[in-house]
Amino acid sequence: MNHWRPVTRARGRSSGWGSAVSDPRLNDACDQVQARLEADEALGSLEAHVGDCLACSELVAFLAEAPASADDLRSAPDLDLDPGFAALQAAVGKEAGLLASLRSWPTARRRGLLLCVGLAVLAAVWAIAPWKHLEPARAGLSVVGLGVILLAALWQSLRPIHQPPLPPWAWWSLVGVAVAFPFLLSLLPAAFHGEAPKSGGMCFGFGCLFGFPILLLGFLLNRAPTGAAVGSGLLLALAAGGALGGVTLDAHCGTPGMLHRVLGHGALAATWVGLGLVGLALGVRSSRGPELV
Amino acid sequence: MELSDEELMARYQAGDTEAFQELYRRYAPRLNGLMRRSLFRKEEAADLVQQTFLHLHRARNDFRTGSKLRPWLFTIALNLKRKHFRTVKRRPTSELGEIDPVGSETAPGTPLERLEDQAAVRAALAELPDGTREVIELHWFEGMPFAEVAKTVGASLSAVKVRAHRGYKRLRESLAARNPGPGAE
Repeated sequence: MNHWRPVTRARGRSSGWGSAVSDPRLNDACDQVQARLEADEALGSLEAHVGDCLACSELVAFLAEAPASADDLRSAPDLDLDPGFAALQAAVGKEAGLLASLRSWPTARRRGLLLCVGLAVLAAVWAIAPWKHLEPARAGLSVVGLGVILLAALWQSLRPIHQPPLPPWAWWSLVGVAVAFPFLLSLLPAAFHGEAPKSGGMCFGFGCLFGFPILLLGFLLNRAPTGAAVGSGLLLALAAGGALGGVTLDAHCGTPGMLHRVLGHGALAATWVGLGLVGLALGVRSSRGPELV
Repeated sequence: MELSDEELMARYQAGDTEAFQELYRRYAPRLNGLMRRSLFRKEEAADLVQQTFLHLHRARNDFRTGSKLRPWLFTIALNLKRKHFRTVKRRPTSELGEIDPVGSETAPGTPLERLEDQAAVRAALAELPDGTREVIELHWFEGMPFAEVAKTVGASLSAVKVRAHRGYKRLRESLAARNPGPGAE
């Protein structure tokens, strides 16, 4: 491949820089270097900066050695614009109705709506069955811990796609804490003043009921199209639903017995998130093909 | 006078579909280039471009006055591209047999040589870690300043410059290994 020669940037396919000379937007020396290379102009006084800047010096060295035709990879003109836009318009046209309108709300408003529904569920449970069974310290831990998980999961479940994604470690940490915290909470010794020990089935069922509005709304407000595989947003909505179910259960139920609390309260978020993870794994397999979101 | 991207977006938010078409005309070829550098099937790349604009439409009310459209749009495109590779469980590849050379009117060499050159660059890009490759693609191919690249990939300015330095260095080494030069044989 001895026909390689340095990339020449002035190809009439400007990426928006215009002339590199005296562009007021270029207040960073690195940007000025880039713009001059882009316009195929001499670096002049910027040579000194290139000598000092590792990124710029590597860019200059790279452009001096890269094959000229590599520059052609900057744009792919083989896209049929008119049929492409017609197909896009057809897809946009299908996004009508109440649900599409809700999803097009600004993210702050969608998050606010989700939060209001979560608070409404808590308020309703509080009104029906005021907190009276649990000692204050344990109750505080439940409200603060699960409340923080609930808020974080709600917030991230509607993270818009025009923002860089949450780092994987942060995402998995949030999911892990949402599962582990209710379990640990149910293992903590505390003074309960409720009825005699009984199985946790009823509590588990009520927890699902209390958490369901958040899950449903989180799903409806998610901008992934209907029928899409379980995604990270829906999984976090499941975690939020589990946290909401957990905190409402703790507010309502003072039944003593560790087994009851582990199976009836602590297992709720784990079950929901576990089902979500299974859905995520299955969805990844089933969505090979055109459905990408 | 030509309207800026941001003005077009503001018009689209107000319901002007011609502004949307103009944004599509401006950005679809470049987004297609972004996709085609690591996705060699035209249909796959075209589908991701469509998805990018569909998400632009869905999220149009999130765009705020004073923001810049380009990093916003490229963040959507990169997120969809990452998601695509996660879904199909593979990394960007560089099989020579699957690709067509693009935009080769100005480059020297025969079509086969150009194809080989482009394949070599694609292969070198594919070897880079994801975060580094994205920085190189946005900085070199898209001509974005570092600050805009940082905003698009969600990293600090210094982290982006470090990635650029490492990326260009590795690309250069990788391409040099593929093209030893006249005296090498």
